[in-house]
Amino acid sequence: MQGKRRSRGNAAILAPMYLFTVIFLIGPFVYMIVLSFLTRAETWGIVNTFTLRNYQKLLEPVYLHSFGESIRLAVYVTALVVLIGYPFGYFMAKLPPKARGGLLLVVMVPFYTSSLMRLYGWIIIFRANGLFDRLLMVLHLTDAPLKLLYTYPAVVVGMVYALLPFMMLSVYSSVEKMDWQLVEAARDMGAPPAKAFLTITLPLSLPGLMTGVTLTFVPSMGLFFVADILGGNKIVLIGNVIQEQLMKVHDWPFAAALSVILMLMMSLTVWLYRRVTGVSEMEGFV
Amino acid sequence: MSNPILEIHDITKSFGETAVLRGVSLSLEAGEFVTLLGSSGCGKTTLLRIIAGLESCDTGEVILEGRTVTNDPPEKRDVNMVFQNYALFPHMNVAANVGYALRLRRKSKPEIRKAVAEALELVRLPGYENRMPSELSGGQRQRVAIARALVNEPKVLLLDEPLGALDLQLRRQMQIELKRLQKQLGITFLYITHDQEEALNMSDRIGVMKNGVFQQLDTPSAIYDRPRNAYVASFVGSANILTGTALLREDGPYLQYAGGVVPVTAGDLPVEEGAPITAAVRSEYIDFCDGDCEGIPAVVREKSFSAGMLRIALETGTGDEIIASRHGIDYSLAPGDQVRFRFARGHAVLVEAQDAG
Repeated sequence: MQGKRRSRGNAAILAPMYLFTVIFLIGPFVYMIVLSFLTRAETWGIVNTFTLRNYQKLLEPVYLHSFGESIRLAVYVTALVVLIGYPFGYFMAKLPPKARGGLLLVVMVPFYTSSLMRLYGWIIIFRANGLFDRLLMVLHLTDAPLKLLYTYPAVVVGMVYALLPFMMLSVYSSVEKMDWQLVEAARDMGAPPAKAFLTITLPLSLPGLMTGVTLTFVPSMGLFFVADILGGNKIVLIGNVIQEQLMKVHDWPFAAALSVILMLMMSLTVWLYRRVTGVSEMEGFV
Repeated sequence: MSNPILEIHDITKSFGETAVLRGVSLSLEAGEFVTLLGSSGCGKTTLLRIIAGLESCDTGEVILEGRTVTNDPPEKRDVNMVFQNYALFPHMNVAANVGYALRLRRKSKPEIRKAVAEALELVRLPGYENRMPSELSGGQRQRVAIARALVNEPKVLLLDEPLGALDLQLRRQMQIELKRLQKQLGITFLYITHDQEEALNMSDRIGVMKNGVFQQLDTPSAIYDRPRNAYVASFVGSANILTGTALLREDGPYLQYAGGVVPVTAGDLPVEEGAPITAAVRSEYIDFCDGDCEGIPAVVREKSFSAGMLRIALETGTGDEIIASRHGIDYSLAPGDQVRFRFARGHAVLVEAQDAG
C-alpha cells in the first residue's frame, strides 16, 4: 500500500522530466528515423513517400569512404588521447590535493571558452610561417615552413586537443578513487612496480579509461567543424557529409539516414563499453 | 639465543617534525609469536610497514635471516603482510587473490591450484575459490587475506590489527584460529594490536609501545605481573597507579599514600625511606578493611556490574580514582560510604613513574 502511494508520488514529481525527455529527446529521434525513410521533394522539402533510397545511397563508394575515413581518424585520435590522457589523469590523481586542484582548474578552463575560438587559435599556430613553423626553424629542426594547416595531422591534433580533457578527467576520477593499499599489498606479495600497475591499478581504473575512450571515439566521428577549420575541405568526415547534405544539398532524408547510421555506430561503441567494463554508468560523468 | 629470523636495530622515523619511532630494536626467533601492543599513534604500524618495506626508516637496520634488507623494496623481502582492512583485490576472485604471489613467481597452473586449495583449507574456507571478495563476510575476507599471505610461505608474517574490524565473538574465535595456524605452520608472527586481551592470549612475547619506543618487551606473564612502569601497568590489565612516599619497616617496604599505609613489593627498584615511589595494583586485589586498620581511606563513588564482575569506583582524599572489582554482587557498599582499602603484600608492585624514552 505504502509502496504504491510512494510510487504514485514519485510519478508526479518525475512527470516534467518524462515530458522533457519525450519532447526534446525521443521526439526528435523518432522524427529523424521517420525522415530517413521519406523521399526528397524535387525542389524543396520532403514528400511523404516511403523509400529505402536513402539507405541504398549510403553504399555509394564516396559515402562508404567517408565512414571509413571517420572511423580511421577516430581510432588514431582515440589512441593518441589514451596515450597522453591516461598518464596525465593518473599523475594528476596522485598529486597532493592542493596541486591537484590547480591542475584540475587548468584542464577545466578551456571548457569555458568557445571551442570554435580555440580552434582558430590552432590556425594561428599551424598556418604557413605560423608559430609552429617558426619554432621549428628557430630550433633548426626544419629549414622551410611545414605548412601543417589544412593537413591530416592538423585535424588529428585539433581533435586530440578538443577531446583530451574528457580522457584526463575520467581517468582522474577513476584513479583518484583507488585504494593504494591494494598496490602496497601487490608489492608485498612480490610484484615489482610495473607489474603491480598492470595487475592492480590498470584493471581497477579500466572503467575510467573506457569512459574516456567512449567519450573520445564517439564524438570524434562527428566533430565536423574540426575537420572543416583545420582540414580545409580535404578531409570529409561523416559529420561533414551530414552537414553538407543538410545545409547545402538540402537532402534532409539522406542526412537523416546518415545520422541514424552514425547513431547506431555510437550506440554500438557504448554497448561495447558496457560489455567490457560491466558498468552501466559512465565513470565520473553520469 | 640461536640465530634470530628477524632483527631490527635502533630504527628511527620521523614524519616532518613528528618523531614516530625513536630507536626501536627487536629480535625475533623462528616460530615466535610477538605482539606489538600500544594505542594508536604509538608507532607500531609504522614499524611494521618499515619491516615490510612499505615505508623507509631514517636510521637503523632491518635484518632478515642474517641479510640486511633495509633498502630493499617490498617485493624483494621474504615477509608478507596482512592488512588491517584486508586489501583484497576487488577485481579478482578468491583463487586469484590467494594465488597472486604464486602467479608472479610463474608457478604452473596445477601447482597454483593445489597451493590455493591447501591455503583455503588451512583457513577453513575450502571451496571458496570462485567467490568474489564482495560476496564474502568480514570474517571470511580476513581468512582469505591470511591465506593469501601464507601461500607465499613468508619467513615472517606481519599482521596489522587483523581482527580490528571484526565483532567481539568472531575476534575471539579468530584469535584461537590464528594461534592454531601459527603453531601448525611454525611461521614467525609479528602481530599488531591495541587490545591487551588479544596480546595476552596469543603472544610468546609482547612489546608494549608508547611514544615510538618499547616501554617493556617481555613475556605476557612478566608484563602482567611485573610491569616496568606506570604506563605498562595501567595499559595492560588496567592497574591502579598509586604515588606516595616509601616507608621502610622490618617486614619490608610500605607505601604511604592518601592517609594510609599499604605493603608493596620493591621488585628490582631501589627503595629509600621517604623517597617518592609509585606502585601498581590491579583492581581484583583491592580489599576493604574495618575502620581502625592502616588501609587507605576513600569514598565509594559508583557501583556497576558487568560480565560477572562488580566494579567499584573509589575516590581517595587526594582526589585519585581507584577501581576495585569483585566477583558477584556486594550489597554492603553504597555510593557515599566511607571505606578503607588495602591489599596483601605481593599484590602491589613498584613501577617507574616515567615512561621509557
